[in-house]
Amino acid sequence: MMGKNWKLIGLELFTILLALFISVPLYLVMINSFKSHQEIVTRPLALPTFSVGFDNITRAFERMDIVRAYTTTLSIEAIAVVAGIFLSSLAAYAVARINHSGFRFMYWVYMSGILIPIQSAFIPLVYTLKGMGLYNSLLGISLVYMAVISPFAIFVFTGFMRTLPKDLEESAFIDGCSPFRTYLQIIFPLIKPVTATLIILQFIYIWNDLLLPLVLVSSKDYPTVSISLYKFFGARGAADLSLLFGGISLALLPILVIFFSFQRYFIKGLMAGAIKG
Amino acid sequence: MQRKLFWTGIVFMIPITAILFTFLFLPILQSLYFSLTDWRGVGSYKFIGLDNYKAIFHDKLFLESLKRTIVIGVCAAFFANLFGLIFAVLLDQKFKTKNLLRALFYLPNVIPIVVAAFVWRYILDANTGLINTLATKLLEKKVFIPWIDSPDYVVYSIIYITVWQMMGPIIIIYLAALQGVPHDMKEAAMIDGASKFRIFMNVTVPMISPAITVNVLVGLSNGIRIFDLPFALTGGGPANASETLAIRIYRYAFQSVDLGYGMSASFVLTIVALVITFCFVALSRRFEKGAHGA
Repeated sequence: MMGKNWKLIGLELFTILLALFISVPLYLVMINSFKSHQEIVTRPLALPTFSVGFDNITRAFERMDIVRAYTTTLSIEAIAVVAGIFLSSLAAYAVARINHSGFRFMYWVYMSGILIPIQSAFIPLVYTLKGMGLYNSLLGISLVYMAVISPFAIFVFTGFMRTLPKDLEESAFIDGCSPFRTYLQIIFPLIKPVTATLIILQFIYIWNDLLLPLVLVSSKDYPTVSISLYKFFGARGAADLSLLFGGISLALLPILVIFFSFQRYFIKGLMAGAIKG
Repeated sequence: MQRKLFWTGIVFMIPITAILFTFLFLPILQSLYFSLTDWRGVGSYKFIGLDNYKAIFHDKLFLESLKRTIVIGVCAAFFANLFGLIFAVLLDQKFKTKNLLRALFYLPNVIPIVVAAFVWRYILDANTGLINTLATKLLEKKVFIPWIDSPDYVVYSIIYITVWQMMGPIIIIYLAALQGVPHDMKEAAMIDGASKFRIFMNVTVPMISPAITVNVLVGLSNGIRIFDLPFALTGGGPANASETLAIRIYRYAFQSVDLGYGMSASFVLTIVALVITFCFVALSRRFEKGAHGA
Protein backbone atom coordinates (compact mmCIF):
# COMPACT_ATOMS: atom_id res chain seq x y z
CA MET A 1 0.00 0.00 0.00
CA MET A 2 2.89 2.31 0.84
CA GLY A 3 4.39 1.81 -2.62
CA LYS A 4 1.14 2.74 -4.27
CA ASN A 5 1.00 5.96 -2.30
CA TRP A 6 4.49 7.00 -3.37
CA LYS A 7 3.60 6.22 -6.94
CA LEU A 8 0.59 8.53 -6.73
CA ILE A 9 2.68 11.33 -5.21
CA GLY A 10 5.29 10.89 -7.94
CA LEU A 11 2.60 11.04 -10.59
CA GLU A 12 1.17 14.17 -8.98
CA LEU A 13 4.58 15.87 -8.98
CA PHE A 14 5.01 14.94 -12.62
CA THR A 15 1.60 16.42 -13.46
CA ILE A 16 2.43 19.59 -11.53
CA LEU A 17 5.63 19.94 -13.56
CA LEU A 18 3.61 19.53 -16.76
CA ALA A 19 1.13 22.16 -15.59
CA LEU A 20 4.00 24.55 -14.82
CA PHE A 21 5.49 23.93 -18.25
CA ILE A 22 2.16 24.72 -19.89
CA SER A 23 1.86 27.86 -17.76
CA VAL A 24 5.26 29.33 -18.74
CA PRO A 25 3.72 32.00 -21.04
CA LEU A 26 1.40 33.10 -18.25
CA TYR A 27 4.27 33.19 -15.76
CA LEU A 28 6.21 35.40 -18.18
CA VAL A 29 3.31 37.84 -18.37
CA MET A 30 2.96 37.96 -14.59
CA ILE A 31 6.62 38.63 -13.82
CA ASN A 32 7.48 40.85 -16.77
CA SER A 33 4.52 43.16 -16.24
CA PHE A 34 6.39 44.45 -13.19
CA LYS A 35 9.86 44.87 -14.69
CA SER A 36 11.59 47.59 -16.66
CA HIS A 37 12.52 46.93 -20.27
CA GLN A 38 16.16 46.52 -19.24
CA GLU A 39 15.29 43.98 -16.55
CA ILE A 40 13.17 41.97 -18.98
CA VAL A 41 16.03 41.80 -21.45
CA THR A 42 18.77 40.90 -18.99
CA ARG A 43 16.89 38.69 -16.53
CA PRO A 44 13.82 37.38 -18.36
CA LEU A 45 12.91 34.56 -15.97
CA ALA A 46 13.73 36.21 -12.64
CA LEU A 47 11.05 37.36 -10.23
CA PRO A 48 10.47 41.11 -10.43
CA THR A 49 12.16 43.53 -8.01
CA PHE A 50 9.11 45.80 -8.33
CA SER A 51 11.41 48.71 -9.15
CA VAL A 52 8.79 50.00 -11.59
CA GLY A 53 5.73 49.15 -9.51
CA PHE A 54 2.58 49.30 -11.61
CA ASP A 55 4.19 51.71 -14.09
CA ASN A 56 3.97 49.38 -17.08
CA ILE A 57 0.28 48.81 -16.58
CA THR A 58 -0.58 52.46 -15.92
CA ARG A 59 1.48 53.58 -18.92
CA ALA A 60 -0.29 51.09 -21.20
CA PHE A 61 -3.59 52.13 -19.63
CA GLU A 62 -3.01 55.76 -20.57
CA ARG A 63 -1.66 55.20 -24.05
CA MET A 64 -3.90 52.41 -25.31
CA ASP A 65 -7.23 54.11 -24.66
CA ILE A 66 -8.15 50.90 -22.91
CA VAL A 67 -11.32 52.21 -21.25
CA ARG A 68 -12.91 52.67 -24.65
CA ALA A 69 -11.77 49.19 -25.63
CA TYR A 70 -13.30 47.65 -22.49
CA THR A 71 -16.55 49.53 -23.09
CA THR A 72 -16.74 48.40 -26.72
CA THR A 73 -16.03 44.77 -25.95
CA LEU A 74 -18.39 44.69 -22.99
CA SER A 75 -21.18 46.26 -25.03
CA ILE A 76 -20.81 43.59 -27.71
CA GLU A 77 -20.68 40.93 -25.00
CA ALA A 78 -23.80 42.28 -23.31
CA ILE A 79 -25.88 42.21 -26.48
CA ALA A 80 -24.50 39.08 -28.12
CA VAL A 81 -24.05 36.77 -25.14
CA VAL A 82 -27.21 37.61 -23.22
CA ALA A 83 -29.56 37.72 -26.20
CA GLY A 84 -27.80 34.95 -28.09
CA ILE A 85 -27.87 32.48 -25.21
CA PHE A 86 -31.44 33.33 -24.21
CA LEU A 87 -32.83 33.03 -27.75
CA SER A 88 -30.88 29.80 -28.26
CA SER A 89 -32.42 28.34 -25.11
CA LEU A 90 -35.91 29.16 -26.44
CA ALA A 91 -35.21 27.37 -29.72
CA ALA A 92 -33.65 24.45 -27.85
CA TYR A 93 -36.78 24.15 -25.69
CA ALA A 94 -38.93 23.83 -28.81
CA VAL A 95 -36.60 21.26 -30.33
CA ALA A 96 -36.27 19.25 -27.12
CA ARG A 97 -39.95 19.15 -26.24
CA ILE A 98 -41.94 18.94 -29.46
CA ASN A 99 -42.07 15.54 -31.03
CA HIS A 100 -42.59 16.51 -34.66
CA SER A 101 -40.54 15.81 -37.76
CA GLY A 102 -40.25 19.52 -38.61
CA PHE A 103 -38.61 20.24 -35.27
CA ARG A 104 -36.31 17.25 -35.58
CA PHE A 105 -35.29 18.57 -38.99
CA MET A 106 -34.56 22.01 -37.51
CA TYR A 107 -32.33 20.36 -34.92
CA TRP A 108 -30.11 19.10 -37.74
CA VAL A 109 -30.18 22.50 -39.41
CA TYR A 110 -28.89 24.03 -36.17
CA MET A 111 -26.26 21.30 -35.85
CA SER A 112 -24.97 21.99 -39.35
CA GLY A 113 -24.33 25.55 -38.13
CA ILE A 114 -21.65 24.19 -35.78
CA LEU A 115 -19.72 22.85 -38.75
CA ILE A 116 -19.81 25.98 -40.89
CA PRO A 117 -16.80 28.21 -40.29
CA ILE A 118 -17.63 31.91 -39.94
CA GLN A 119 -14.21 32.39 -41.57
CA SER A 120 -15.80 31.35 -44.86
CA ALA A 121 -18.74 33.74 -44.51
CA PHE A 122 -17.16 37.07 -43.67
CA ILE A 123 -16.86 38.58 -47.16
CA PRO A 124 -20.57 38.26 -47.98
CA LEU A 125 -21.32 39.28 -44.38
CA VAL A 126 -19.61 42.60 -44.91
CA TYR A 127 -21.96 43.31 -47.82
CA THR A 128 -25.04 41.94 -46.04
CA LEU A 129 -24.36 44.23 -43.09
CA LYS A 130 -23.68 47.21 -45.38
CA GLY A 131 -26.98 46.56 -47.15
CA MET A 132 -28.82 46.57 -43.82
CA GLY A 133 -27.01 49.65 -42.56
CA LEU A 134 -25.45 47.57 -39.78
CA TYR A 135 -21.86 47.59 -40.98
CA ASN A 136 -19.53 49.23 -38.45
CA SER A 137 -22.10 49.12 -35.65
CA LEU A 138 -22.28 47.38 -32.30
CA LEU A 139 -25.62 45.82 -33.16
CA GLY A 140 -24.34 44.44 -36.47
CA ILE A 141 -21.32 42.66 -35.04
CA SER A 142 -23.35 41.45 -32.05
CA LEU A 143 -25.95 39.88 -34.35
CA VAL A 144 -23.18 38.04 -36.19
CA TYR A 145 -21.77 36.79 -32.88
CA MET A 146 -25.25 35.58 -31.94
CA ALA A 147 -25.35 33.57 -35.17
CA VAL A 148 -21.91 32.13 -34.44
CA ILE A 149 -22.57 31.09 -30.85
CA SER A 150 -26.17 29.88 -31.18
CA PRO A 151 -25.70 26.46 -32.88
CA PHE A 152 -23.42 25.20 -30.11
CA ALA A 153 -25.65 26.72 -27.42
CA ILE A 154 -28.72 25.05 -28.93
CA PHE A 155 -26.84 21.74 -29.07
CA VAL A 156 -25.91 21.89 -25.37
CA PHE A 157 -29.30 23.19 -24.20
CA THR A 158 -31.23 20.57 -26.19
CA GLY A 159 -29.12 17.76 -24.76
CA PHE A 160 -29.71 19.06 -21.24
CA MET A 161 -33.43 19.79 -21.60
CA ARG A 162 -34.14 16.30 -22.91
CA THR A 163 -33.05 14.96 -19.52
CA LEU A 164 -35.50 17.17 -17.60
CA PRO A 165 -38.79 15.62 -16.41
CA LYS A 166 -41.94 16.89 -18.12
CA ASP A 167 -44.42 16.64 -15.20
CA LEU A 168 -43.85 20.15 -13.84
CA GLU A 169 -44.56 21.89 -17.12
CA GLU A 170 -47.55 19.69 -17.80
CA SER A 171 -49.20 20.60 -14.51
CA ALA A 172 -48.42 24.27 -15.17
CA PHE A 173 -50.13 24.01 -18.56
CA ILE A 174 -53.15 22.38 -17.01
CA ASP A 175 -53.33 25.25 -14.52
CA GLY A 176 -53.57 27.56 -17.51
CA CYS A 177 -50.08 29.00 -17.42
CA SER A 178 -48.94 30.35 -20.80
CA PRO A 179 -46.05 28.49 -22.49
CA PHE A 180 -43.74 31.50 -22.26
CA ARG A 181 -44.40 31.98 -18.55
CA THR A 182 -43.99 28.25 -18.00
CA TYR A 183 -40.66 28.46 -19.75
CA LEU A 184 -39.46 31.43 -17.70
CA GLN A 185 -40.69 30.16 -14.34
CA ILE A 186 -40.13 26.44 -14.59
CA ILE A 187 -37.58 25.57 -17.27
CA PHE A 188 -35.27 28.54 -17.04
CA PRO A 189 -34.40 28.06 -13.34
CA LEU A 190 -33.60 24.40 -14.07
CA ILE A 191 -31.14 25.17 -16.88
CA LYS A 192 -29.22 27.84 -14.94
CA PRO A 193 -26.02 25.77 -14.48
CA VAL A 194 -25.73 25.05 -18.22
CA THR A 195 -26.59 28.65 -19.00
CA ALA A 196 -23.80 29.87 -16.74
CA THR A 197 -21.27 27.58 -18.38
CA LEU A 198 -22.32 28.67 -21.86
CA ILE A 199 -22.20 32.34 -20.91
CA ILE A 200 -18.64 32.06 -19.62
CA LEU A 201 -17.55 30.03 -22.64
CA GLN A 202 -18.99 32.47 -25.17
CA PHE A 203 -17.90 35.50 -23.17
CA ILE A 204 -14.33 34.25 -23.45
CA TYR A 205 -14.70 33.53 -27.17
CA ILE A 206 -15.95 37.03 -27.96
CA TRP A 207 -13.41 38.72 -25.70
CA ASN A 208 -10.60 36.88 -27.49
CA ASP A 209 -11.83 37.03 -31.08
CA LEU A 210 -9.80 39.00 -33.58
CA LEU A 211 -11.36 38.23 -36.96
CA LEU A 212 -14.86 39.68 -36.73
CA PRO A 213 -13.91 43.03 -35.17
CA LEU A 214 -11.19 43.25 -37.81
CA VAL A 215 -13.57 42.90 -40.74
CA LEU A 216 -16.98 44.06 -39.49
CA VAL A 217 -16.23 47.27 -37.60
CA SER A 218 -13.69 50.05 -37.90
CA SER A 219 -11.13 49.95 -35.12
CA LYS A 220 -11.32 53.75 -34.87
CA ASP A 221 -15.00 53.73 -33.99
CA TYR A 222 -15.29 50.43 -32.15
CA PRO A 223 -11.93 49.21 -30.86
CA THR A 224 -12.37 45.91 -29.04
CA VAL A 225 -9.75 44.85 -26.51
CA SER A 226 -8.10 42.27 -28.79
CA ILE A 227 -8.01 44.68 -31.73
CA SER A 228 -6.63 47.53 -29.61
CA LEU A 229 -3.81 45.34 -28.37
CA TYR A 230 -3.14 44.04 -31.87
CA LYS A 231 -3.12 47.47 -33.51
CA PHE A 232 -1.16 49.14 -30.74
CA PHE A 233 1.76 46.71 -30.82
CA GLY A 234 1.38 45.56 -34.40
CA ALA A 235 2.38 49.05 -35.48
CA ARG A 236 5.32 49.62 -33.15
CA GLY A 237 6.55 46.06 -32.63
CA ALA A 238 7.99 45.05 -29.30
CA ALA A 239 10.60 47.80 -28.99
CA ASP A 240 9.43 48.54 -25.45
CA LEU A 241 8.87 45.19 -23.75
CA SER A 242 7.69 46.71 -20.49
CA LEU A 243 4.92 48.56 -22.32
CA LEU A 244 4.07 45.38 -24.25
CA PHE A 245 3.65 43.35 -21.07
CA GLY A 246 1.67 46.17 -19.47
CA GLY A 247 -0.73 46.12 -22.41
CA ILE A 248 -0.92 42.35 -22.34
CA SER A 249 -1.89 42.41 -18.66
CA LEU A 250 -4.71 44.83 -19.40
CA ALA A 251 -6.18 42.52 -22.04
CA LEU A 252 -5.63 39.42 -19.94
CA LEU A 253 -6.59 40.51 -16.44
CA PRO A 254 -10.39 40.77 -16.77
CA ILE A 255 -10.66 37.40 -18.45
CA LEU A 256 -8.47 35.76 -15.79
CA VAL A 257 -10.55 37.28 -13.00
CA ILE A 258 -13.71 35.91 -14.59
CA PHE A 259 -12.16 32.51 -15.21
CA PHE A 260 -10.82 32.08 -11.69
CA SER A 261 -13.96 33.35 -9.98
CA PHE A 262 -16.15 30.87 -11.84
CA GLN A 263 -13.50 28.23 -12.42
CA ARG A 264 -14.80 25.36 -10.28
CA TYR A 265 -18.35 25.93 -11.33
CA PHE A 266 -17.31 26.36 -14.94
CA ILE A 267 -15.23 23.20 -15.29
CA LYS A 268 -17.89 21.16 -13.47
CA GLY A 269 -20.55 22.57 -15.78
CA LEU A 270 -18.47 21.75 -18.84
CA MET A 271 -17.98 18.19 -17.62
CA ALA A 272 -21.68 17.73 -16.91
CA GLY A 273 -22.50 19.18 -20.31
CA ALA A 274 -19.98 16.89 -21.97
CA ILE A 275 -21.65 13.80 -20.53
CA LYS A 276 -25.13 14.83 -21.58
CA GLY A 277 -24.20 16.27 -24.96
CA MET B 1 -51.09 20.27 -25.36
CA GLN B 2 -48.71 19.26 -28.12
CA ARG B 3 -50.84 21.33 -30.52
CA LYS B 4 -50.63 24.44 -28.40
CA LEU B 5 -46.95 23.83 -27.91
CA PHE B 6 -46.46 23.43 -31.67
CA TRP B 7 -47.19 27.08 -32.43
CA THR B 8 -45.37 28.28 -29.33
CA GLY B 9 -42.38 26.26 -30.44
CA ILE B 10 -42.37 27.94 -33.81
CA VAL B 11 -42.54 31.37 -32.19
CA PHE B 12 -39.69 30.35 -29.85
CA MET B 13 -37.53 29.34 -32.78
CA ILE B 14 -38.14 32.32 -35.07
CA PRO B 15 -35.75 34.94 -33.60
CA ILE B 16 -32.55 32.90 -33.41
CA THR B 17 -33.37 31.04 -36.63
CA ALA B 18 -33.78 34.33 -38.49
CA ILE B 19 -30.45 35.57 -37.12
CA LEU B 20 -28.75 32.30 -37.95
CA PHE B 21 -30.00 32.29 -41.53
CA THR B 22 -29.26 35.96 -42.17
CA PHE B 23 -25.79 36.00 -40.70
CA LEU B 24 -24.46 32.49 -41.20
CA PHE B 25 -26.32 30.31 -43.72
CA LEU B 26 -27.20 33.03 -46.22
CA PRO B 27 -23.62 34.37 -46.48
CA ILE B 28 -22.41 30.84 -47.25
CA LEU B 29 -24.92 30.57 -50.11
CA GLN B 30 -23.96 34.07 -51.24
CA SER B 31 -20.31 33.09 -51.35
CA LEU B 32 -21.26 30.16 -53.60
CA TYR B 33 -23.45 32.36 -55.83
CA PHE B 34 -21.00 35.24 -56.22
CA SER B 35 -18.04 32.91 -56.68
CA LEU B 36 -19.63 32.04 -60.03
CA THR B 37 -19.75 35.70 -61.12
CA ASP B 38 -17.32 38.51 -61.82
CA TRP B 39 -18.87 40.71 -59.10
CA ARG B 40 -16.55 43.43 -57.81
CA GLY B 41 -18.50 44.54 -54.77
CA VAL B 42 -20.63 47.14 -56.58
CA GLY B 43 -22.53 47.40 -59.84
CA SER B 44 -23.70 44.77 -62.27
CA TYR B 45 -22.11 41.39 -62.77
CA LYS B 46 -22.37 38.40 -65.04
CA PHE B 47 -21.92 34.68 -64.58
CA ILE B 48 -18.52 33.37 -65.51
CA GLY B 49 -18.97 29.73 -64.51
CA LEU B 50 -16.05 28.16 -62.71
CA ASP B 51 -13.45 30.69 -63.90
CA ASN B 52 -12.75 31.94 -60.37
CA TYR B 53 -12.19 28.39 -59.14
CA LYS B 54 -9.92 27.63 -62.11
CA ALA B 55 -7.96 30.77 -61.29
CA ILE B 56 -7.48 30.09 -57.57
CA PHE B 57 -6.55 26.47 -58.23
CA HIS B 58 -3.73 27.84 -60.37
CA ASP B 59 -2.73 30.35 -57.69
CA LYS B 60 0.28 29.00 -55.83
CA LEU B 61 -0.52 31.08 -52.74
CA PHE B 62 -4.02 29.61 -52.54
CA LEU B 63 -2.95 26.01 -53.13
CA GLU B 64 -0.21 26.23 -50.52
CA SER B 65 -2.48 27.84 -47.95
CA LEU B 66 -5.06 25.10 -48.56
CA LYS B 67 -2.49 22.35 -48.08
CA ARG B 68 -1.04 24.10 -45.03
CA THR B 69 -4.47 24.57 -43.47
CA ILE B 70 -5.26 20.87 -43.79
CA VAL B 71 -1.83 19.93 -42.38
CA ILE B 72 -2.30 22.29 -39.42
CA GLY B 73 -5.85 21.03 -38.81
CA VAL B 74 -4.95 17.35 -38.93
CA CYS B 75 -1.72 17.67 -36.91
CA ALA B 76 -3.25 19.95 -34.29
CA ALA B 77 -6.26 17.65 -33.90
CA PHE B 78 -4.02 14.58 -33.62
CA PHE B 79 -1.59 15.97 -31.05
CA ALA B 80 -4.21 17.84 -29.04
CA ASN B 81 -6.13 14.57 -28.70
CA LEU B 82 -3.09 12.42 -27.96
CA PHE B 83 -1.80 14.73 -25.23
CA GLY B 84 -5.30 15.71 -24.18
CA LEU B 85 -6.16 12.10 -23.43
CA ILE B 86 -2.87 11.48 -21.58
CA PHE B 87 -3.36 14.62 -19.47
CA ALA B 88 -6.98 13.68 -18.79
CA VAL B 89 -5.85 10.28 -17.48
CA LEU B 90 -3.36 12.07 -15.21
CA LEU B 91 -5.96 14.56 -13.98
CA ASP B 92 -8.37 11.70 -13.30
CA GLN B 93 -6.06 10.43 -10.50
CA LYS B 94 -6.84 11.17 -6.87
CA PHE B 95 -4.49 14.16 -6.61
CA LYS B 96 -4.71 16.65 -3.74
CA THR B 97 -4.18 19.57 -6.14
CA LYS B 98 -6.68 18.18 -8.65
CA ASN B 99 -8.85 21.28 -9.01
CA LEU B 100 -5.97 23.72 -9.35
CA LEU B 101 -4.27 21.45 -11.89
CA ARG B 102 -7.43 21.21 -13.98
CA ALA B 103 -7.68 24.99 -14.02
CA LEU B 104 -4.02 25.36 -15.05
CA PHE B 105 -4.40 22.89 -17.91
CA TYR B 106 -7.51 24.72 -19.08
CA LEU B 107 -5.98 28.17 -18.82
CA PRO B 108 -4.24 28.50 -22.24
CA ASN B 109 -7.68 28.27 -23.84
CA VAL B 110 -8.80 31.33 -21.89
CA ILE B 111 -5.88 33.54 -22.86
CA PRO B 112 -6.78 35.94 -25.72
CA ILE B 113 -5.11 34.72 -28.92
CA VAL B 114 -3.51 38.12 -29.52
CA VAL B 115 -1.95 37.95 -26.06
CA ALA B 116 -0.79 34.38 -26.69
CA ALA B 117 0.64 35.39 -30.06
CA PHE B 118 2.59 38.30 -28.59
CA VAL B 119 3.97 36.26 -25.70
CA TRP B 120 4.96 33.39 -27.98
CA ARG B 121 6.61 35.86 -30.34
CA TYR B 122 8.59 37.12 -27.38
CA ILE B 123 9.56 33.53 -26.54
CA LEU B 124 10.32 32.31 -30.06
CA ASP B 125 11.83 35.32 -31.85
CA ALA B 126 15.09 34.33 -33.53
CA ASN B 127 17.19 37.33 -32.47
CA THR B 128 15.78 38.57 -29.17
CA GLY B 129 13.55 35.61 -28.25
CA LEU B 130 13.66 34.02 -24.83
CA ILE B 131 14.58 30.49 -25.94
CA ASN B 132 17.48 31.51 -28.15
CA THR B 133 18.79 34.01 -25.58
CA LEU B 134 18.71 31.46 -22.76
CA ALA B 135 20.23 28.75 -24.96
CA THR B 136 23.01 31.12 -25.98
CA LYS B 137 23.76 31.88 -22.32
CA LEU B 138 23.66 28.22 -21.27
CA LEU B 139 25.72 26.80 -24.13
CA GLU B 140 28.03 29.82 -24.27
CA LYS B 141 27.82 29.91 -28.04
CA LYS B 142 25.43 31.74 -30.34
CA VAL B 143 22.19 29.80 -30.75
CA PHE B 144 20.03 30.96 -33.63
CA ILE B 145 16.97 28.83 -34.27
CA PRO B 146 14.41 30.74 -36.37
CA TRP B 147 11.31 29.21 -34.72
CA ILE B 148 8.94 31.65 -36.37
CA ASP B 149 11.29 33.55 -38.66
CA SER B 150 11.96 30.77 -41.11
CA PRO B 151 9.46 29.31 -43.59
CA ASP B 152 10.70 25.82 -42.68
CA TYR B 153 9.95 26.10 -38.96
CA VAL B 154 7.02 28.44 -38.63
CA VAL B 155 4.28 25.87 -39.34
CA TYR B 156 5.59 23.57 -36.60
CA SER B 157 5.60 26.45 -34.14
CA ILE B 158 2.03 27.30 -35.08
CA ILE B 159 0.93 23.68 -34.66
CA TYR B 160 2.63 23.58 -31.25
CA ILE B 161 0.97 26.79 -30.06
CA THR B 162 -2.40 25.68 -31.45
CA VAL B 163 -2.19 22.39 -29.56
CA TRP B 164 -1.23 24.27 -26.39
CA GLN B 165 -4.16 26.59 -26.93
CA MET B 166 -6.91 24.10 -27.86
CA MET B 167 -6.18 21.33 -25.35
CA GLY B 168 -8.16 22.70 -22.37
CA PRO B 169 -11.73 21.83 -23.44
CA ILE B 170 -10.51 18.56 -24.99
CA ILE B 171 -9.02 17.50 -21.65
CA ILE B 172 -12.26 18.37 -19.84
CA ILE B 173 -14.39 16.34 -22.28
CA TYR B 174 -12.05 13.33 -21.88
CA LEU B 175 -12.10 13.73 -18.12
CA ALA B 176 -15.89 13.64 -18.10
CA ALA B 177 -15.87 10.55 -20.35
CA LEU B 178 -13.27 8.76 -18.21
CA GLN B 179 -15.37 9.30 -15.11
CA GLY B 180 -18.29 7.66 -16.90
CA VAL B 181 -16.40 4.38 -17.42
CA PRO B 182 -17.85 1.88 -14.89
CA HIS B 183 -15.33 0.51 -12.39
CA ASP B 184 -16.62 -3.07 -12.42
CA MET B 185 -15.64 -3.46 -16.09
CA LYS B 186 -12.07 -2.46 -15.33
CA GLU B 187 -12.03 -4.70 -12.24
CA ALA B 188 -13.32 -7.67 -14.21
CA ALA B 189 -10.52 -7.22 -16.73
CA MET B 190 -8.00 -6.83 -13.89
CA ILE B 191 -9.14 -10.13 -12.32
CA ASP B 192 -8.67 -11.75 -15.72
CA GLY B 193 -5.05 -10.64 -15.41
CA ALA B 194 -5.00 -7.94 -18.08
CA SER B 195 -2.27 -5.31 -17.80
CA LYS B 196 -3.18 -1.70 -17.07
CA PHE B 197 -2.26 -0.66 -20.59
CA ARG B 198 -4.40 -3.41 -22.12
CA ILE B 199 -7.34 -2.50 -19.91
CA PHE B 200 -6.98 1.08 -21.07
CA MET B 201 -6.82 0.14 -24.75
CA ASN B 202 -9.49 -2.58 -24.71
CA VAL B 203 -11.96 -1.36 -22.07
CA THR B 204 -11.52 2.38 -21.56
CA VAL B 205 -10.86 3.52 -25.13
CA PRO B 206 -13.92 1.78 -26.63
CA MET B 207 -16.05 3.14 -23.77
CA ILE B 208 -14.94 6.72 -24.40
CA SER B 209 -15.04 6.51 -28.20
CA PRO B 210 -17.95 9.01 -28.48
CA ALA B 211 -15.76 11.55 -26.64
CA ILE B 212 -12.87 10.78 -29.00
CA THR B 213 -15.14 11.48 -31.98
CA VAL B 214 -16.33 14.78 -30.52
CA ASN B 215 -12.81 15.86 -29.57
CA VAL B 216 -11.22 15.03 -32.90
CA LEU B 217 -14.01 17.00 -34.57
CA VAL B 218 -13.41 19.94 -32.22
CA GLY B 219 -9.70 19.80 -33.06
CA LEU B 220 -10.20 19.48 -36.81
CA SER B 221 -12.81 22.17 -37.12
CA ASN B 222 -10.88 24.66 -34.98
CA GLY B 223 -7.66 23.76 -36.78
CA ILE B 224 -8.88 24.41 -40.30
CA ARG B 225 -10.56 27.69 -39.24
CA ILE B 226 -7.37 29.05 -37.78
CA PHE B 227 -6.92 32.75 -38.47
CA ASP B 228 -6.10 34.77 -35.35
CA LEU B 229 -2.94 33.01 -34.23
CA PRO B 230 -0.85 33.14 -37.43
CA PHE B 231 -2.31 36.56 -38.21
CA ALA B 232 -1.12 38.06 -34.92
CA LEU B 233 2.02 35.93 -34.57
CA THR B 234 3.63 36.33 -37.98
CA GLY B 235 1.05 38.08 -40.16
CA GLY B 236 1.08 34.97 -42.36
CA GLY B 237 4.81 35.30 -42.96
CA PRO B 238 7.66 34.92 -43.43
CA ALA B 239 7.16 34.82 -47.20
CA ASN B 240 3.54 33.64 -46.76
CA ALA B 241 4.81 30.48 -45.08
CA SER B 242 2.21 30.61 -42.29
CA GLU B 243 -0.68 31.86 -44.36
CA THR B 244 -3.77 29.75 -43.70
CA LEU B 245 -6.87 29.52 -45.86
CA ALA B 246 -8.75 32.00 -43.67
CA ILE B 247 -5.88 34.50 -43.95
CA ARG B 248 -5.75 33.96 -47.72
CA ILE B 249 -9.48 34.76 -47.92
CA TYR B 250 -8.87 37.89 -45.87
CA ARG B 251 -6.07 38.94 -48.24
CA TYR B 252 -8.17 38.31 -51.36
CA ALA B 253 -10.96 40.41 -49.86
CA PHE B 254 -9.13 43.30 -48.28
CA GLN B 255 -5.68 43.53 -49.81
CA SER B 256 -5.79 42.45 -53.45
CA VAL B 257 -9.60 43.01 -53.50
CA ASP B 258 -10.28 39.99 -55.71
CA LEU B 259 -13.76 39.39 -54.36
CA GLY B 260 -14.46 36.56 -56.81
CA TYR B 261 -11.33 34.73 -55.67
CA GLY B 262 -12.20 35.48 -52.05
CA MET B 263 -15.71 34.07 -52.41
CA SER B 264 -14.42 30.97 -54.21
CA ALA B 265 -11.79 30.39 -51.54
CA SER B 266 -14.50 30.89 -48.88
CA PHE B 267 -16.65 28.25 -50.44
CA VAL B 268 -13.68 25.89 -50.67
CA LEU B 269 -13.15 26.38 -46.92
CA THR B 270 -16.80 25.50 -46.25
CA ILE B 271 -16.45 22.37 -48.39
CA VAL B 272 -13.21 21.38 -46.65
CA ALA B 273 -14.90 21.78 -43.26
CA LEU B 274 -17.88 19.65 -44.30
CA VAL B 275 -15.88 16.96 -46.12
CA ILE B 276 -13.41 16.51 -43.25
CA THR B 277 -16.31 16.19 -40.81
CA PHE B 278 -18.22 13.65 -42.88
CA CYS B 279 -15.13 11.58 -43.65
CA PHE B 280 -14.22 11.50 -40.00
CA VAL B 281 -17.73 10.69 -38.76
CA ALA B 282 -18.04 7.89 -41.34
CA LEU B 283 -14.64 6.55 -40.34
CA SER B 284 -15.36 6.62 -36.60
CA ARG B 285 -18.75 4.91 -37.15
CA ARG B 286 -17.01 2.10 -39.01
CA PHE B 287 -14.38 1.91 -36.28
CA GLU B 288 -16.99 1.80 -33.52
CA LYS B 289 -18.90 -0.93 -35.34
CA GLY B 290 -15.67 -2.88 -35.74
CA ALA B 291 -14.89 -2.50 -32.06
CA HIS B 292 -18.33 -3.75 -31.06
CA GLY B 293 -18.20 -6.64 -33.49
CA ALA B 294 -14.90 -7.87 -32.11
